[in-house]
Parts: sequence; C-alpha cells; structure tokens
Amino acid sequence: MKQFELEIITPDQSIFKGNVTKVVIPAHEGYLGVLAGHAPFICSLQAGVLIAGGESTNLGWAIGGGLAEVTPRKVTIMADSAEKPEEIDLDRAEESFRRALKRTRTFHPEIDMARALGAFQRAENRMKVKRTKE
Amino acid sequence: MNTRAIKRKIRSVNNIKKITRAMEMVSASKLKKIQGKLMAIRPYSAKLQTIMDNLLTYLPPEAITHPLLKARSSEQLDVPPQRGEARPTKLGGEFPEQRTGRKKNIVAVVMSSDKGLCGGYNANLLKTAGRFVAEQNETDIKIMALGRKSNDYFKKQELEIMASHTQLSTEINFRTVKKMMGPVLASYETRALDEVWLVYSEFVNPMIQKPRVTRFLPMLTAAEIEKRRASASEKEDQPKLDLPYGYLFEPDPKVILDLIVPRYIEVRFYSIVLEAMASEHGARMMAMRNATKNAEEVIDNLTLTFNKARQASITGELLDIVGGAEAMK
Repeated sequence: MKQFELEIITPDQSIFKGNVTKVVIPAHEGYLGVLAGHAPFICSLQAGVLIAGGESTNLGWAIGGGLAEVTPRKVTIMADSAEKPEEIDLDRAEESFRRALKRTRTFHPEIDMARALGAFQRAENRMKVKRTKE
Repeated sequence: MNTRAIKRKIRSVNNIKKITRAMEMVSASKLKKIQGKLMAIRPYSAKLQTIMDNLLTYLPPEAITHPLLKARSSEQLDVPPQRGEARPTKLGGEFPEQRTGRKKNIVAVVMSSDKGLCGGYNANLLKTAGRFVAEQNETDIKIMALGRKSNDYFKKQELEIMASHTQLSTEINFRTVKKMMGPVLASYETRALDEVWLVYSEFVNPMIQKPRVTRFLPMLTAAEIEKRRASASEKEDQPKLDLPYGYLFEPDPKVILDLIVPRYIEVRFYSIVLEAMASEHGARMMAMRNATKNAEEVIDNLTLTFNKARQASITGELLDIVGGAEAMK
C-alpha cells in the first residue's frame, strides 16, 4: 500500500512523525478513514481515538479535540491533547469509566451532564486505545 | 589589615563565588528547559498560522465574525456590553456614559519574575510598563500581573490588579497558561474589555532582553485585514488548487476559523509567556556569571593584599631579629 506521512502535534510537544498507510481520524461528524492521495481538506476533531495503520501494526492515540489537515502526501493532526497507549493506565481508565457511567445514569441537579459525558467519553477512548495496542 | 582578617575575607568571597556559580548553572538549565518548550510549540503554532493566514485572506469579510478576531470600530465602543453585569449602569435604563462615549477598558499583562538577582531585568521591564501605564489617560487600565515583582510594583502604584499569577515554574505547560488567560478572553468576548496589551521581555539571546509593549487583542484591526487581502490579490503566483481556499473544509470554513482563533491566541500567549521566562533565566544567568567574575577579581586583589601583608610581617620580624642581634654586639 502507498505510504504517506503522519504528524501528530500538540501545543506541548510533537507526539508522532512517521510513514503510515492509513489513518482513521475522529472528525467532528464521525470517524473518517484517510489513505494516501486524499483530496486536501481541513476538519475539526472531536475527542476520540486516532488510529494509524503502518505496514504491520496499528498505532492508537486518545485525542482530545483539535484540527486535522489532510493533503495528498501528508496528514497533520493538531490535537489539543494526545495520549499514547503506554501512558494510559488501564485500571484507572476502567475505574473512571465506571464512575462516569454511574454519574451519567443518575439524575441529580448537581451533576453537570456535559462534563459527565465528556469524562465518560474520555475514559472510553483511553480503554479503546489500550486495546488497539494489544 | 592583618593577615588573618584578609584570609577570612577571601574565604567568605570564595563561598559567595560558589553560590553565584551554582545559581548560574541552575539558571542555565532552566533556560534550556524553557527553550525546549519554545521549540516544541513551534510546529503547532506554525501550522495554525498558515491555516489562519489562508482563511483570513480568502474568506469573505462577513464570515470573519469570531469575537476574538473581529476588530471593533469606534462606534462599537458605544454599544453597551452584552451582559448587563459586566459594567455598572445607572438606574432608569439609560446609559448616560455611552452618549459621550465611554472610556476604553484595557488590561495590561505585565510579565516579570518572582525573584530578583537577575540584573536589570525587572527594573527595565517595570520602567517600560510604568511608562505605558502613565500614557493611558484616556482609558481605564487594569493590570494582570505575572510574577511577584510586577504584582508588588503595581500594588504600590495603587492600580487595579485584575489577577496575579506568581511562581511560574519551568514545568509550565499549555494547559496552565490557558487557564490563566481564560478570564481575560471571556471578558474580552463580552466586551467588558476593549483591548489587551502585553508587557514582556523579548528574548533576543541569553545576554540581551528587550522590554516590549504589544497589543495582543484585538489581534487585527479592520485595516490590517484589508491590507492582507490587498497584498494577497497582488501576488497571484500562489499555488492554487481547483478548490475554494485550496482546501475542503469540514464542516465549513467559518467553523474551522472559529476553532482556530482561540487556539491561535492561546498558543501565542503561551509562547510569549515562555519567551518572558526565557528572558528571565537568561538575565539571571548573565547576572550570576558577572557576579562570579567579580568575585574572582575580588579574590585576586585580596590574595595580592594578603601576600603583601604576609611579606611585610616577615620583613618586620627579620628586621626585629637583625636589630636585636645588632644590639647584642
């Protein structure tokens, strides 16, 4: 398969730079697969899982929103945050997943639903990323 | 001075030298850390910059509506802020101060250090900031202080300090700076603030820091956007694809611009904060290097005095002995 360059950057650091054959981007309106030679576009990202497919392995990151720029030869992900599977503690992610799930299911005026859902989403993303690794 | 006193003094200067040298090393490593962070945001901010430049040049003016970007014309100053509580208004539903045009509300973010021992760094910066504040006769100015020195300085001047952030460590990251900036951006968006200015030290190189005053918000005035457009239409040699703006936008260009603008502003602020910190550590490094050099000079002089004094006492003793022997004859 044809390869293209993928670069993932956040304001704090460069996360990844290398050649891949496919990328799945958590775009604002749903997951979006990109192969080499894609028409140039810019899209917004939502919190989700970014998956890059190399020759033999898949790489995953938990992304917290941002922007993506796609050109035929290069994909640049400008993420607000990005976590590698190595940085994710599965037990902690599962713990916060359960906690968030419980919060979203209880109705209480003091619970900020948007925040609870956000936490739920983030925990779920982390767990997914961890599983792509395995 | 007797030799013992000189010896004691040499020892104490030597100890000072050790301390200043250690401080120089600490500052050097902090500077390196901050410079690393400055390098790390460069790819991100460069990319944002290019996308934003393109959007600003090719989007129709009516699409550029982000409150952080849109330049305010002078009439807009007379419009009451969108949220009533942002500014006190008189009872009776009237805005008497609006008819005459209210004063502009501006905030100056002054970035100094927490600690001294960095040469003229704070003095130069605060002098510049003080001059800027003194010029603001037509506006209501508030201060956001970064660093204890700037907080103390403006407190003494009895200016209103909107917020004060001290003890910025080298472990500073984008998120903490974003939080700092949050209230300022929010009140700018609700028009409780009309302009944001930054006073910081530009990092030229570790030896040179230049105090600077720049307007941070509004980012561009209407005239500046117009100029950009004009220069872009002049040079048509830019590579263009068969797509509007050269890219497809998902969902649409306006949404992307609205997404980029706050990030761009935050990244710019973050890099300026980092630059100010780099200047501080550079200034301290140089100050401590000079102090170490001075200590060495003092030690050299004292050693010379010590040797002279020792020689003098030996000569004195010899004379005593010779004189005594002479008298015995």
